[in-house]
Amino acid sequence: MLRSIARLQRPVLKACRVSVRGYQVARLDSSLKTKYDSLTDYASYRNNIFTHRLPESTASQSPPLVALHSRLNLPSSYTLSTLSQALNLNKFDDGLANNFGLNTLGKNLLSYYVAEHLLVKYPRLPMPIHNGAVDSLMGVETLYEIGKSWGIDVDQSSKLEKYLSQESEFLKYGKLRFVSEESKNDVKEPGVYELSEDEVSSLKRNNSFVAKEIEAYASAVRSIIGGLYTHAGEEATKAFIEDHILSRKLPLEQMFQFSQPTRELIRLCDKLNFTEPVEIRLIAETGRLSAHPIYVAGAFCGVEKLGEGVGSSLSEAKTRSVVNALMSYYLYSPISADGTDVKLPSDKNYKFEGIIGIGDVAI
Amino acid sequence: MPVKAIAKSSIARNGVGAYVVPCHKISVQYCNWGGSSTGLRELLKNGQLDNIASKKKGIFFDIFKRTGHPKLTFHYNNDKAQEVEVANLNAKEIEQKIQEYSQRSGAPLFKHNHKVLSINDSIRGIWSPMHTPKSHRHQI
Amino acid sequence: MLRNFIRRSSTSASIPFEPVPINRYNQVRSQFNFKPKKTQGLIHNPASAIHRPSIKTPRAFLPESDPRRKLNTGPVFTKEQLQDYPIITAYKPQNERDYSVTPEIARKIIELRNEDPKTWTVTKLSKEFGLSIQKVNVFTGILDEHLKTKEVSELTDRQKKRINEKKKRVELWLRNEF
Repeated sequence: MLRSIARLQRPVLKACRVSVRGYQVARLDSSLKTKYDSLTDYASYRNNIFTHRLPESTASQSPPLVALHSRLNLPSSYTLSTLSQALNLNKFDDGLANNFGLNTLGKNLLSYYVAEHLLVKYPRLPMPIHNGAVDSLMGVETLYEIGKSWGIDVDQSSKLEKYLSQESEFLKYGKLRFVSEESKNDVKEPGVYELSEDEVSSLKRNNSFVAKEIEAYASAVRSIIGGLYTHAGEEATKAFIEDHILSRKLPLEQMFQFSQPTRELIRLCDKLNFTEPVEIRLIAETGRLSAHPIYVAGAFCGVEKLGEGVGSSLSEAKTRSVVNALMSYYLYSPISADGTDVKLPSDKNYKFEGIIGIGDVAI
Repeated sequence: MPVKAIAKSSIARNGVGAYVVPCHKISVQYCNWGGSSTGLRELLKNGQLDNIASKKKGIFFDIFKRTGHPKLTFHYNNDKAQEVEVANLNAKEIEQKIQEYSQRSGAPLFKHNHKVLSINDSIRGIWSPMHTPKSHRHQI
Repeated sequence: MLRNFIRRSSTSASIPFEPVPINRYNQVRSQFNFKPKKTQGLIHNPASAIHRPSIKTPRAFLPESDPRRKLNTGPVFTKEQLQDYPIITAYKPQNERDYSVTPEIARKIIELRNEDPKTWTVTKLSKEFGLSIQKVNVFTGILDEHLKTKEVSELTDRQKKRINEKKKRVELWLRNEF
């Protein structure tokens, strides 16, 4: 809409340039009441919102919190109060510190280790697939699933309900807190879900809807990782990310959607400086007059076979062989000279092995 | 763009890397008066449940008093809850129930005796008669 | 350990090629079904299946530095063997491709075609300019014309269904799904 307005106004306002904001600009959160001496003196930035951290003695009396700590096998240096803070998304209730900072820290750590893992292990992945793989490992939906599997519960009961059911006030410190006190009192209709303002705006922006709960779980998982870094350092965080996130099965083979595979394979062979012609050859067939003919085609470059495919028609076998050849190129994973996995840059005694991808193929 | 990505979520493999106990919460409901709760009351009184809880540190035991038959509810991380009636069971039997159900995954029980289930591809691929060498093909 | 051992021994070329287990089992009649006699030591028994692209990278795509380049995995084709496999389609390598068509020739082809499409058929144009039919098709836009002339509304429901099904199948090919 902004663009169309800009186009309309251009002939009238010849001298002035209408700027269209196309990227994210960092803005101060006004609710934090940030004060500073001068705008560029970042060291002087102070938030004037009153928050305090949960005392360790209180946190240790929350059974779900202690259980979560031990279920995740967190080191003893990881304080329970930090873990409780990682589960708190509410900015104003109780005046407790929320997980905003921990979330940012965790997100950065996650994206570093996930990107490192993918770039070293699959150096030839095309950019869209790489991005898809990053989302597959640390996207909001995946982190929500991880948070669920860690047995994190949501604090949904209001103060009144807690009082009436004689629930201990410490219980909520081990639960995910993102529902504000007012909305807890809202009457909920089963099967009906009212969108919040954020959700509506995200729906308008990129036509995708991420429920607040999913986002909250993801934020808690990231914050727990961020908290681990602050207490136990980088080594432990790396091991934790490897154990919980990089150990998941990544269905890379199911993530490719080609549009013009033959053209792409030829361009790829050009890029790799292959001097032989690319030939699709028929390797086997059941016979054209058989009831359900099956063909096996192979994509060859000279005498080297690049890929093979089966199909019930020649064109299907051909396309599948080409798609197979492309995938076997893109899914290449290097090994070191002694047959083990290639070391990552963050490993000890790192020595560069493997390859750096030569970039995407343009068609 | 030559290739487009199809969004797929990665698949959890609990135990590859880290292992997180699937049962995260056990609700223990007992009655202070009824005779069917005798075993559970004994378990609570002699500190045996404390022992179990201290051994299973990853599980949150929620104990509450309510009239009626005693009941254990096991909450698993796949959003399933399993209720187990422990009326008229003695302390030892209840302990066994706790041991048994706290080790479950929450998924319905399945007999694994004749089915192979795997999310991994077969390393040797799917057999095809077109790929045996020419000299060894079946001839009619 | 085992992996390293296998890797070390598989580099030597002396491993016997044994595509099916040697036994006294009669494959044709399924008679005399004795237990197979195992060969001692390592044998090269390649899977009679298509390799998953994620499991094995073809040698042409392995970079120079990769240790798997030195292993003898899988048969290497000779030119004579490839003669047994008929070519479905072939694409010339970069240095042999013909880029001789100039914009003038292309413009002329379009002009002639627009003037009188009935006399200047695609075959005639291709003979006149010494180009392949496919190339002339690209210039004249005959493929687009064909698609435009056959309006979707003209098609019967059955034809539409078939076209849609075909489209869906092709999508599956492009995703390497079955």
